[in-house]
Amino acid sequence: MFKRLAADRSSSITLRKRESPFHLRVWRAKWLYLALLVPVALLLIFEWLPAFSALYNSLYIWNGGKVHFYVGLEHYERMLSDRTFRVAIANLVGFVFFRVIMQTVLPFFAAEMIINLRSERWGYWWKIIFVFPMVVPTILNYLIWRFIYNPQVGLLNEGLELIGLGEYTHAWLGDPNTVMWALAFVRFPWLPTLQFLIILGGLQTIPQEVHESAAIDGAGFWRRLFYIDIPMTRRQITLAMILTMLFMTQRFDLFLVMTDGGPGYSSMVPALQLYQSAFHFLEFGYASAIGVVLFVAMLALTVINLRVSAGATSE
Amino acid sequence: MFRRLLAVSLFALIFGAFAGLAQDEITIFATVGAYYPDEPTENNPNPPQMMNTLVAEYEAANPGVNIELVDVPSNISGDQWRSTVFNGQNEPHIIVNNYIRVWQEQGNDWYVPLNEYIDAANPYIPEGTPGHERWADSIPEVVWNTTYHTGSGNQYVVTVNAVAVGFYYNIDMLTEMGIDTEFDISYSLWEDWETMIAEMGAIAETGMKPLALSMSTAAPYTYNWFDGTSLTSMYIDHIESWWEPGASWHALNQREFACAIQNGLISANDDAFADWIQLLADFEPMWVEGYSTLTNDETYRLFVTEEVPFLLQNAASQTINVTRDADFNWGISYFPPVTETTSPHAANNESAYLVGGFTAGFTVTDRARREGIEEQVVDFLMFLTAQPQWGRVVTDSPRSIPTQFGLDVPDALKPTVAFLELPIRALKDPDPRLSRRYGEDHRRLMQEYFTDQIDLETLIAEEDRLMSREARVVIAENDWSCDFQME
Repeated sequence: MFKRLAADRSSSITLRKRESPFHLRVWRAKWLYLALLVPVALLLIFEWLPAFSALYNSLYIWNGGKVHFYVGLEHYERMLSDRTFRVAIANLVGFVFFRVIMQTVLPFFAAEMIINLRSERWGYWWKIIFVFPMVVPTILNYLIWRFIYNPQVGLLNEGLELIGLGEYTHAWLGDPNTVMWALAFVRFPWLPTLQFLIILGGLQTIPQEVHESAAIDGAGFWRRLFYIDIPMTRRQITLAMILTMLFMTQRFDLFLVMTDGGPGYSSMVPALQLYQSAFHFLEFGYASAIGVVLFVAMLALTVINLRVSAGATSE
Repeated sequence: MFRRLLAVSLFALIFGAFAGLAQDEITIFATVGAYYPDEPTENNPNPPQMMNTLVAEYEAANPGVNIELVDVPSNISGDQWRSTVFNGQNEPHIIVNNYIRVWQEQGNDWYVPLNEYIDAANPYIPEGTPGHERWADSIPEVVWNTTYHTGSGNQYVVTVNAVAVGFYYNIDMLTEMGIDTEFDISYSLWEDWETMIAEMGAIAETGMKPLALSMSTAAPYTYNWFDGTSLTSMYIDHIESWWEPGASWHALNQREFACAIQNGLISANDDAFADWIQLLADFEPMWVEGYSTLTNDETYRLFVTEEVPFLLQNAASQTINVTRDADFNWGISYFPPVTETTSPHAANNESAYLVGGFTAGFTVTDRARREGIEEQVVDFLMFLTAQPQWGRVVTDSPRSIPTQFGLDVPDALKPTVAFLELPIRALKDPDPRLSRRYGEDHRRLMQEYFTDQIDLETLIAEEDRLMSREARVVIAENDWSCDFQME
């Protein structure tokens, strides 16, 4: 009886759906669509249009003003033989690899620590401590780190002198052998707020019963970590990794403020080269081509990462 | 209905009348670079305000003309700012810009050629003072020759300031080290380059890097200043043959230098070029640690805190600061001449050169033309740069050495004015020498060489490739002929 009623009801709903044409449904929800129109239009104008215009401009020589003529794939060919671009890519790969690992592992352990605290009050305060750096302007952070690395009066060299390791003092940013490491260590101990909150959120969704059952079965911290926490927060970890990869690839302010890509090209990255090509050399076409290549590379890496992660989760 | 129509018509009439009145008002927007009046702060309760005074005087003398001074935001680069305002057609009518940037951007028709205006009389310059009959005469010819754009033959920039670069030295520290610090304008603190290297080398041997300078590309750098000077010394016997016909001693323009490369008159494979690289390489061990990333402010701090005995900095603007901050006796010198002791190619080099040159100048932008107020804008520029007005600006804020004839130099700048008596170097900073791309890549290549990332052979090969490519680009862009050097 109930089944029949339900079937009747669903067929009547289907009937009603068939009866209302698309335009009527749109009309009924007109205010919703109108409300959406403004943000979508803004998004199109200020995000999508510039992004896609880069693809178009990458086929042109454009100086940001009147000089604008078609050159086809010339910029992409130039990129292949551009020594600066090759060095920049190599620098970026090492930097992103290091930061993705650090900015995932350390926030994960910070989140684990909070989850495992017995006192909720302490957990709350630790969360505040970890999230607090978010309010410090990034540029201020860089300037502080610049000062830390200053070869003459910097905190790092002064500290080394103080503990009797004066022979290790160094022009950390001025030496091609140390500059990328020095930049990679900026904002140590790498607890980015967003990634930390994503992973913490993931860990908090694991039911308490799962942890309790594991404890009854005699699982210690490490077993619980590898067999419960990591597998169950894989999606959050993947998201944190993808975000870090995207942020770090797009990052040029760090390199601009700290070293401007020097000494020589030893801390040059593609995003900084893009910026310089556009605004120093007025080569907006070439800068657009670099942007397109970065976009495609990031998209490909994100897709691969998602596929690998999805595959691992389904296993 | 009729009432409503009447009300609308009346409103339109009144609005139209006001709009008509408003059209008679002219507002000129102008950037004035470092002379933009600062807000008083705790440390600086009475900042220079002369620009505000001059604006008020001009507005009072020209009813209906409003001048709005525009402060260029410091949180973005000037290049970025200009690209934004020009593409948005929102640029100020007057913009202070470096002449090399103007050359780079002039293809966009962003700037108004000033050729006719500078040939006209400047009514704001008193009778009997150079420039009254012809505005251009108020400024030395060498300034115009240096800043005009050879590609178009146009003068876009009115440059009223010069920068001389000096070696600041700590007399107390040097005396303690037993180094003679007597300085006379007829020769530098050192008689020649070798003496300087020897004295600095002796200090370096004590474990102290003697010279604070910046080779940072992120900040205004001081390395460039002796790059061109020392290269001039090495090619001293050849430079005359690179000039356009009929020219006298001057800083080579882009065309002359690019053509010299194209015609094989200068090459990175020359012996003279190799000697020049060696000269720079011998000098590099004297520079403070981390020079490739230090900013000018950081090098300045090293000098006033007596971490180093020498500082290479702007001899005008920093004089005021050093006077304020240094608790020791100090002096100011300039680069010694490079002679045959250093290289046989410098055998006939008899002089030290003015290190530095002419700074950013005033340009009139296309907006003035679009709005049909070009003449009014130029009139304000004539007023501002005339000696009576500009003299008050630099006295109030002595940041650079004024270039105009017949203008009293403020006391704070007097020690540095003697530098302007030196001949101008023939080869400029790497950027204006050839192109901005060349300047940037050349600086990075030199950094790579100094930090042992590349060897001499690679440096020469890369320099050769870079010079040839940029010369080709600049010549093609401007459609120049280089035959004049082969005649």
